[in-house]
Order: sequence, then structure tokens, then C-alpha cells
Amino acid sequence: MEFFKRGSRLSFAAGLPRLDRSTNAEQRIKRARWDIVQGFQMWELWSRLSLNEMSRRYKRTLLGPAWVTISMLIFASIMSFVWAGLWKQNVREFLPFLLSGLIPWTMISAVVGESTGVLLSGEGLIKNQQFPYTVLTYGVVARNFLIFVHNIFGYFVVALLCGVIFNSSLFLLIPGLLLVLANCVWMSLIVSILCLRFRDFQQIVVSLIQITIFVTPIFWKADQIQGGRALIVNANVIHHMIELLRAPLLGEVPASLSYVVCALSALLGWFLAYRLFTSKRHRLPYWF
Amino acid sequence: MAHIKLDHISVDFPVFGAAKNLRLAIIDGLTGGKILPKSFSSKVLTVKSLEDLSLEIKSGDRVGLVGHNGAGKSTLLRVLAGVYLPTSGQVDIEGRITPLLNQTPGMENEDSGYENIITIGMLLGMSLVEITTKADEIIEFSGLGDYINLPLRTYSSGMQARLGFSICTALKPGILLLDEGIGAADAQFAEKASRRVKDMVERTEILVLASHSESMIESMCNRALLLHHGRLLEIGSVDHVMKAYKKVQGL
Repeated sequence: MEFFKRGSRLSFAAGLPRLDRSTNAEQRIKRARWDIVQGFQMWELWSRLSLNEMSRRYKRTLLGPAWVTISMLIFASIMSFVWAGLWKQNVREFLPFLLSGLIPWTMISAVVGESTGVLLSGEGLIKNQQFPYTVLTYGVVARNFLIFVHNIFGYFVVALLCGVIFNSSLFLLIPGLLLVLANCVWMSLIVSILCLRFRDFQQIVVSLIQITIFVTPIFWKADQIQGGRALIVNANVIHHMIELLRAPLLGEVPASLSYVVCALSALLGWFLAYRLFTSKRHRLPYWF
Repeated sequence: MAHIKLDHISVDFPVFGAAKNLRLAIIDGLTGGKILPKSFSSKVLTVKSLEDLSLEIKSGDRVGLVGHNGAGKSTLLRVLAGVYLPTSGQVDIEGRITPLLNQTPGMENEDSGYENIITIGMLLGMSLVEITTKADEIIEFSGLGDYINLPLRTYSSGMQARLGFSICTALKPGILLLDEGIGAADAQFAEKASRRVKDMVERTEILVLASHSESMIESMCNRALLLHHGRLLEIGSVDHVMKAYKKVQGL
């Protein structure tokens, strides 16, 4: 446990578990645990990597990262105009509803989507030195969380214009975010490892994401689906994750079922991710 | 005290074919791997890169690795760097490892030279404080001057190599792993770089250098080892190993 105690101020080379004479299996587990913990402690690095990536993306643009929010708002406005017309709803009601679902969805789907290539593009680093690989996946989550924060500000402006009334349930956004992020981290880890080993996975994940946006109540309301098909909603973990963030944004309290489902999925997901990572981390450099 | 001990290590690389991947892994999982004929089983083809290699390096050793292309020099360096955990056998390494294998891992073209120094320094294991205090020294050594604030894409490849070299060599290493071809850029800098490498080599406790250049190994190393098809063929004084190397090449 000694290596867990070293602080983030110290360089990770100092906290690196020594390659010692323990058996390879012990070595493996020790290093995987070190990777997860130390990687997280290196927040200075992964937040930097994600900030850099953000500013790179919008370098030489006039509005910079505001573009993320602007394009999201344009998309949602036009979609609301059409969909509210189709379903004979009020745009002022529909737009906040759509945005409050679309913004969490964007974060979750982008985490999963970008994780497909994160280890692959880290080849130069992974084959050069030892470092906590999880730095890369934490970076993916951090970057998309940052975009989420951008978008939320845009949402508040729109919501106030549309007359959404916020109440104390808005504070539930914080525990909701923590749960969703905990889920994002394990999803990112599992997806990135599987995509490195099985290149087909990348394609599978991409098409799954495309399907999920329609199967999940983002453009439509969960109670619009009735009977047996309601299972599509109730058994959909992504729906519950979105709900944890969407409800507070609309001045409502999320269903307790959503908290239970998200907590269980975080536990189960972390268990699986931990199992996968401890047994396969040492093989990752071999898979390029 | 830095030391390296390798105990009967082997490194096998899996060779994955596109077709022999997910599909067969699934079929294999469903069938328990029994129905498919042997040639179709999910047992992936492997290439032996290092085979049953044992080795001990103590503080003060400067070891030269020789061998033809594909003999396993780079793989061995990567095992020592902790990149590859061997497929079998044990590795016991003590000391701060500085790998100079790739010239510039993690360089970003759109970022300025300074930003790259900070990011790469942190990737190499320095804390933000540590790298910020070292940045001036790195900039000065790289000789990039005002270019340091421009994006990397405006640099010539020589300038990029200079920057990468300057960052990687800013740390005091316990164990220095060098792959040949590091720091070779324009002539003036190459001289400066080789002086820095020599300086580092003097300060470092252990040096492992892979090179084809006989003169480089003779001038920098006091021991050498010869790898041939992933096996350790000879180990001993530079002279002795070089003779063996020539013999192998002659065959």
C-alpha cells in the first residue's frame, strides 16, 4: 500500500511501484492499482491535456470554445422548432426539455466515442515509458465534462428566456453529476481497452451510439412509451444517467429508481473495469 | 544504488490478423474452443522477440547492446523501461529510469514549444512545479530563442528534435536507456547534444545503449552484450563482444 500514499506533488516516477521480485501476477495487480489511483492523482496532467485539446480545437477561431455551446444551441433550436410542430407542443416548453437531455447525452456519448481511440493514439507514449495509462481515459472524461459545463451555461440562458422555474432541486445536479462521471470513467476504461485489442469494437461502439440516441428518451418523453415497450426506457441505463441531470435542470426531482440504477451500474461497471484492467493492463503495450 | 536484474525473461509478441480477431474470439468463447480445428483456434501466432534472457547490471556499468536489426535490442530496452512486462521470467529494477527511445513522445503540433515542454515534462513524470522551474534551462539548452512561443508546426524537424532532446535530458537519471539516433540533428546541435549525453552518462549510475555504431559503443561503454535472434549470445568486455558480433555478421 505504500505507493498509494505518495502525493500528487511528487512526480509519479517516485511513486512507481518497483519492478521487484514478486511474481508476475502480483506485479500485474499492483501496477494496475497503482495506475488507477496514481493516474487519478495526476489531475494536473490530465486536466492540462484536456484543456490543451480544447484550446487546440478552437485555435484561430473567433469565438473559441463558445462554439461548442453555440452549435448545440443552433441544433437544439431548429430541432425544437420541427419537433414541437410535429407533436403540437410549445417550443418554449420543448426547447429546455430537449436541451436538458441533449447536453448530458452529448457528454456521455462523447466519452464513450472518444474512448474508442484514446489508447490507440497514445501509442508513442505507451511504448516509450511507464506511466499511468488511466491518465488518458481520465482526460477524455475531463474534457467532456468541461464541454458539459460550457453547455450548461448556454442552457441556463435559454431556460431563463423560456421561463423555466428553477428550485432547490437544482442542487441535485451535483450528486447526479458525480454518479454519472463515476459511470463515465469505467465506461471509458473498458471501451478503450477493448477497442485496442479488438479493432472491430470501434465500429460496434460507433453504431451503438447512433442507435442509442433514438432509443433513449432524449427527443421524446419517457412517459410517451407505454406497455411492454416501456422496458426500453426503464432498463436503459443511459436514460437513468440522463434523468439524473435532466430533472434538476427542469426544476424536478429525479426518480429514486434512476439513482439506484446508476449506483448499481457504477458498482458493477467498476468491478468489471477493475477486473479487466488488472488482468490486461500489462498486455496493452503488446497490442499495437 | 541502481541495479537491474533480469531472470530468464522471454517476450512474445502476439500477431493479430484482422480476420482472426473478434469473430474467432466469440466463436471460441461460445464453443469452448473445442469444435474448431487446431489451426483455427484462438491461440494467436506469436513472435519470440526475446528468449530466456538472464542478465545482471550493477551501478557503474555502461552497457552497449549490439546485434543486427530485429535481434531484440529495442525490445530489451523497452523491457528495462518498464513498457513491456515480460511474458515469462522476472524483472527486478531499482533506480529512476530515463528512456530516450522515441525522440518526442506526446508532442503536439498546434501547441507552442513552451506548452510542449510543460506537457511532456509532466508526461515524463515531473510535477508542474518541477517542470516550470526547469523550463528556462530547457529553453536555453534547446537554443530555440523566441521560437519557443510559436506553435510546433512552424519548427523544422531539426528544431523539433532539439526541443524533444532538451526536455528528455533535463532530468537526472539513475538508469539511462538510449536508443541510437537520439539528438542527431544539425551538426552544431549534434555536438552540443553529444556533450550533454556524455555529461548525462557520467552522472548516471547505469547506462544501456543500443547502437550499430562500433565507435559509439567503444567510447561510451565498459561492457557489451550481443543479441542474436532474441537470445543473449555473448556478454563481456566491449572488445570481446565486438569480435563475436563481427563473426555473427560474417556468417
